[in-house]
Amino acid sequence: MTELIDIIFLCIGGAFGALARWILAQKFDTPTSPLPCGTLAANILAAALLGAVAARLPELSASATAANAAASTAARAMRLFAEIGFCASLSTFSSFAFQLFEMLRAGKIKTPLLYVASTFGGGVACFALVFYLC
Amino acid sequence: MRFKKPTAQKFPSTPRADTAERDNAAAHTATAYTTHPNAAPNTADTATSTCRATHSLLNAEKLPQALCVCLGGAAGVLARFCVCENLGYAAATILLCNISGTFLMGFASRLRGKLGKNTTAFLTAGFCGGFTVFAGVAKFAAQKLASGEFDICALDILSNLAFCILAAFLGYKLGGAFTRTSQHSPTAPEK
Repeated sequence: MTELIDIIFLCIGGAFGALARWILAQKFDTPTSPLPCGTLAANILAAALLGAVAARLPELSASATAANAAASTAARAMRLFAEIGFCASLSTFSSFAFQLFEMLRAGKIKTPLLYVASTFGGGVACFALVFYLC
Repeated sequence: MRFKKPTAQKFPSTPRADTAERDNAAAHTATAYTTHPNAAPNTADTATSTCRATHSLLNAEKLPQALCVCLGGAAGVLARFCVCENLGYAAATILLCNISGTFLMGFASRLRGKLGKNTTAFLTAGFCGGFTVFAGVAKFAAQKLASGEFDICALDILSNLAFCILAAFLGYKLGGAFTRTSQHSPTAPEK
């Protein structure tokens, strides 16, 4: 089922997403800022993009059983590239959880709470907003 | 310092001849960090690295690291795709990926002085970042909120948070065990 072209699209999406997140993190995750803004921005941006993708592109399973084979292949490729590749790679849970762990280890209570609230609040709100706007 | 991503650990620009010395400094920093968790290490370096981070992002020095991040991201996405194809695209699969990815993140971050900058970038920012996903969690939470299933939404978010922080802790501890064993061994100096 999985073809080589699927894997290529996935890899390209994943590579660009990771690069974008890394650049954001390098630029904005400075020790002086109260929150790791780069990772926060990457996560919220990815959630917003995923909102657009979920609203606009057909589901993977639906596109696979579509009547037009060529259109379904293109839709599947776009879906793989955008959702499973780029958006998922742009967002990260490992950095987020590890930063929370570091904050907790440093004995902070308010900062991790603020970080969790801003990430989940911003992420869910942006996803919902973009989903309904698109 | 604590807020930086682990890969953001930078050292002041040294000529190529000083590589060994720089690696020793890195190992020493990592050791100091493990013995004194609350002491902020290399505060002098932090100011320098902040200046340089704002100065230029993708200079020739950073290029191998960026390439490693790209490769790691592609590998991580591919690994998650394989897991999802076999276990199904469900919230539980994402949870599993997040937990295992965060465990590796904690492990690699603890050993960052030993692994070298490029390997750490490949593993943490690349592979772990591509393997774990926040957007999927946000999507699931938003869908459950929209359908009024607040308890499932809260359960998903809280289980992700709790298990992942626990996994980061366990990975960090495991990395610490590796650091200690290699310190006591006579053939310790390796990159």
